[in-house]
Amino acid sequence: MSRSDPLDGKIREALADVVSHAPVAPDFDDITANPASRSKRPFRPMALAAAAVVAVVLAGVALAGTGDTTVDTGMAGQDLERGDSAATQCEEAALRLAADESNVLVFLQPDSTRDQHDEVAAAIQDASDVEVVRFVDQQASYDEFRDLFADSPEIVESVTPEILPPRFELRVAGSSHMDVIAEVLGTNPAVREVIDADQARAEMMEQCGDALSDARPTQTTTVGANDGRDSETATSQMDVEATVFMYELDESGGADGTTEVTLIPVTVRALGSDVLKEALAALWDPKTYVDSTNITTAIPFTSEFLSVTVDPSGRAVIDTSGLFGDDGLVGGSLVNALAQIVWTATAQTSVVEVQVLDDGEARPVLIDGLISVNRPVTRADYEFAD
Amino acid sequence: MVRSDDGELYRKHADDLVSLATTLVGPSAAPDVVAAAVARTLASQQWDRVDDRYAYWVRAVVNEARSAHRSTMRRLSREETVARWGERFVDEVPGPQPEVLRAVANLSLQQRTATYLAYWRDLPVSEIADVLGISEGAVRRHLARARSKLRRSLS
Repeated sequence: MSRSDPLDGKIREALADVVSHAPVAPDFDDITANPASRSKRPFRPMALAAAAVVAVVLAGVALAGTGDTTVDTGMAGQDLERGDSAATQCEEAALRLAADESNVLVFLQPDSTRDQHDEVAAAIQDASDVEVVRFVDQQASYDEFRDLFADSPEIVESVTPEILPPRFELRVAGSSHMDVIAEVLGTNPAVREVIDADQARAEMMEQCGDALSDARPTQTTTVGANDGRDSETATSQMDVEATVFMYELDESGGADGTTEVTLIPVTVRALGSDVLKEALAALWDPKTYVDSTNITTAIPFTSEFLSVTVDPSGRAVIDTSGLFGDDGLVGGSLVNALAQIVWTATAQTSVVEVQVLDDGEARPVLIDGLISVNRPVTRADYEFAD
Repeated sequence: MVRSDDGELYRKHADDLVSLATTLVGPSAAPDVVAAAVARTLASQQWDRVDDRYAYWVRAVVNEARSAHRSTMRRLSREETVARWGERFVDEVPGPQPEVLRAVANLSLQQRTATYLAYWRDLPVSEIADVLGISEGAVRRHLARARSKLRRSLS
């Protein structure tokens, strides 16, 4: 950086202004004496691990039909510990509940042996009303944990596969399924805990009720049900309807048995005043697709939608972060993501072309055919999506 | 596990950590962010093996700030974020100038962190890279983008 640039002085002045308002630092003795009172997220690896595993299981992170297990798993378990941000916590957890087929979770002791696992498995298989949905060993459980806390490497570093409980996820027939499983497993010493998943979900949903009613945006309502052009009538904070473009997975369509992917309009509802902004926010929001088994996105979870402005000529300037190269996308994946952005933006009647920025900077973008262009783009540049 | 000299080390860096947190999340949330970050690091099983504890605390503060951002502000538009960030300052009159608030709030967390370490702590790029555990190229990229945004917003 140039020391002679007047900007340096302005930046220092700005930081001085901010830092001059820094509050008094918390006392070290307070932090160490009662960390829970200072930290809303007390660090208890085992409890945290168990809570996280339950959260992962109940949240159904690994059951996404798209195979995408990286979708926004960063906060659910942490928020269960935090006890705050109820809307976010409940919203995210509830969104992942629906598709899980298991109704009983049997957690085994972390130090249980493979022979003991086999013994439990044999008891389960002998029972006529019990079906194993899946068995999750310690490494798989750790992988889920690592994804869940991807944003907190110090937490991940503190946990090893060995301290996490392996588990059976079961589907037990009948209303008295907990009694059934208790009879099947008896007092098996390898079993650490048995959880009624249905009840846990119900309690979670009950706790989430108020928060969910306040949550925004509301859920995806229609898939592929319009022509992809929205009217822009919202003028104040209200329930708006917007169109975003997602990829539809058609596992039966491929001639060679592969999954075909088609860009389709998805209608979302959200609270807001700007249809275009809400549409783009929804495009980046995992909740738009996470509860669907047949739509997905090419936009990486790690990228951000920052802002959008539309000039009188109909050019939408969309600022993003983490989408391009380096930490983001390249090649065909970038083309697919840009197609979603361009088709979504131009779904609004006022937008005719799109310029996508990277952290405020204009840069060349890829269009269909992997051609790099340094100009605003339109739907015609992504005709494969038509 | 708390080491015997952790308290002394914390007191040496506490003001710096709170200043960083203030730059990242504003003054209201800064003490909680620092306390949560330090508490978690002290409880970490890795803590005994951490060589550069200051760098570890800086990264923990950034992580904690990111979590705070995601849990409370994920759904807000950038404009709303700026406004609310500013409101918290306004509550604690006198606060920074509004244009400063907008300028800082327009930076990503990584850009804010790199800017703070470069312009407030006067750390060279190589040290910033060490503290944040990222490449020097990434630091330069964050600083270049931050400068580009700040040039527009502070002009």
